[in-house]
Amino acid sequence: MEELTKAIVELENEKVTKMVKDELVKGTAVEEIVEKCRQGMEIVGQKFSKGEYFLPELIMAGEIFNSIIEIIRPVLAEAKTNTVGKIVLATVQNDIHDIGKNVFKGFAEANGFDVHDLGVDVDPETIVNTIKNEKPDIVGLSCLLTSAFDSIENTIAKIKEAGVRDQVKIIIGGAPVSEELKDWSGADAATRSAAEGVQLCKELLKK
Amino acid sequence: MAENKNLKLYEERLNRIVKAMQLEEPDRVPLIPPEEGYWVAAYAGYSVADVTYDYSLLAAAWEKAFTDFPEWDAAYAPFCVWSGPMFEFAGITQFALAGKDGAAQKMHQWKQVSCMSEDEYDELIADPYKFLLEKILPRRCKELGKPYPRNAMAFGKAFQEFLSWLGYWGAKGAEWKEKFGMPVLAGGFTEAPIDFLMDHLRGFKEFSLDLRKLPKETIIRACEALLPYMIKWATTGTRPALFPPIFIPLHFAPFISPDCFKEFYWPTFKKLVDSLVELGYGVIIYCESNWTPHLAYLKELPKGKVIAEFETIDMKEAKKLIGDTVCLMGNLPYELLVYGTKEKIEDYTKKLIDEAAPGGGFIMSADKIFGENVNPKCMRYWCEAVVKYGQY
Ligand code: B12
Repeated sequence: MEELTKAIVELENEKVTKMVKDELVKGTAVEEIVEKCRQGMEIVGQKFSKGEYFLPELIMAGEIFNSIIEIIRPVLAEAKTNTVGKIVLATVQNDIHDIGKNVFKGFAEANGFDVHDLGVDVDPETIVNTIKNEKPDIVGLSCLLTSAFDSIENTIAKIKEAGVRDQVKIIIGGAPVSEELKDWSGADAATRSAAEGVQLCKELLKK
Repeated sequence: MAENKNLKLYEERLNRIVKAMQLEEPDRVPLIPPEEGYWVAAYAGYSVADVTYDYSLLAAAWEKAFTDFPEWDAAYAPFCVWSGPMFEFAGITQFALAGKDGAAQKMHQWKQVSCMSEDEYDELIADPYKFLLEKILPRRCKELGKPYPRNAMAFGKAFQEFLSWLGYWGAKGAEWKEKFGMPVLAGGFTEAPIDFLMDHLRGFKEFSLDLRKLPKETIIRACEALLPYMIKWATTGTRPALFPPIFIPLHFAPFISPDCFKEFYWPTFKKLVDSLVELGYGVIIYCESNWTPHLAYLKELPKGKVIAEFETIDMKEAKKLIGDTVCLMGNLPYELLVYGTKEKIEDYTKKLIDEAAPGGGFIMSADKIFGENVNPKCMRYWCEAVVKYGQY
């Protein structure tokens, strides 16, 4: 494994920062640095799914990835980083919880997704309009409370009504989501884990 | 006459629960839905805002549920929709009250923010009481942050309301015993020290990072400093007894590694439970989310004094591992009570009973606190299934 990838997997914040700066000075292509980091994040996700890492580790990895992006941001704009897909993400109407959503966001970005985050308590119309404007591959809906079940159902119903259901895959995430809710609401995938969510998104892209 | 009948019913229900707590077989599996007031309010046609401001509406809603679902063996935690007036007097800013604060309509919602900074640990450790009172409360409640005497006046009003709210529900409990034969399960509250630190002081993300960044000693000392206050929170105004037990909802454990759990979570949490049991209390711990990684630890808790309520867990495994130590409770998936058919509800109820009830030490309940969308029809199927399959 590359040193940089390894340092990320081991969550060595300071080491990673220093290595990225060194690579930049050496003139390594930004794409290459990002790729190494992504590989590290992917392994972190696998460890999380296997139960070797837990949420603090996932959150720490997200922080590390963010700080890498901060360092390379000045040169990032010129580089053509290829995204694997675009996600429009929102916590649904009547729910203001965002910790879980943000963990998923950070992780999806680190895995190469371009994430358009609409925030919390987002009404169905805004989500429909964003689908029309942003043309995402995937819509991610988050919630923490069962009270948001009907917001999820409504949102997906509105997406259907607007005639854009076929253009996107829909994944629902958060502590109370289940296969039942997935089937009932007409989503394509459901998960209670951010790492599994990213995995599912990759699979949805292939469908 | 009617009163006698109700008192008999009360004894019957109480016996059922206490036997289960003592890991013995009662006449049938007790049924205690995880209901804190949100669902009964909706069932009776009230909004959460209605019942948060008018306690008598909430009481009426509970009473309707007692009448329609006499299979229930206790009211779980009847007043956990809290007190709207109390929160308003204090000027709470971090709890979105249903009906008052935009997005929260059907359940109050916690704003996931941090109100203690990373470098305030020493101050917390040095004098938790002073720190909570002088630093944290004013940050979380804008009226309490105003200059003297406005802060003192707000505090006085909020505290007064708190006392009358407590008094109201104390009296209701006594009334329900006589009128409905219905016990109230939660006798008092507290939290594991580390959960208090995460939930109310640092916040989920910040605390997750603290665990990796700060010296271990800092976290451990903070938990130890909070422990006496967590014990006091449970014992203040409550009477030591196996029933009603002290309710301890557990939050952070499922999200951390077994190593972290062992080092940071378990020691002060175990001390909390042990201390309460030594003082003569029973305890109900609510192992929220998924406790599989830490399940075996619960075997070290005092035998026959603790109800362990679960959200996601393999009940069969739990029965094998800790069934001789704690009374198991919970786990029926919420979605079954929203979308489930009669057959599916019966099947899961029977499965849970087959796995966890033999020999006693099991209370039927669901995995998540009820929100407004539990289907009354499903509730009926569930009650009937417990009576059908739960006889010993
Ligand atoms: C911690 C906690 C609290 C703390 C919050 C502290 C804080 N600083 O945030 C406190 C004590 C304040 C609290 C209060 C209450 N709580 Co609470 N709480 C929890 C608990 C244990 C964890 C929630 C959490 O922070 N998770 C951490 C985040 C990171 O996890 P997450 O949101 O699930 O996100 C992960 C995945 O789901 C996924 N994900 C999330 N979104 C998305 C989106 C996509 C697209 C994808 C792919 C993935 C994904 O990725 C994340 C990382 O893996 C849950 C139990 C549970 N099972 O989750 C109960 C829980 C949410 N609480 C509950 C209740 C009832 C309450 C109260 C109403 C209690 C009361 N009577 O006052 C209040 C107010 C409601 C609220 N929470 O706002 C219930 C809700 C029940 C229901 N019917 O919905 C729960 C489910 C407990 C239970 N088993 O009943 N709570």
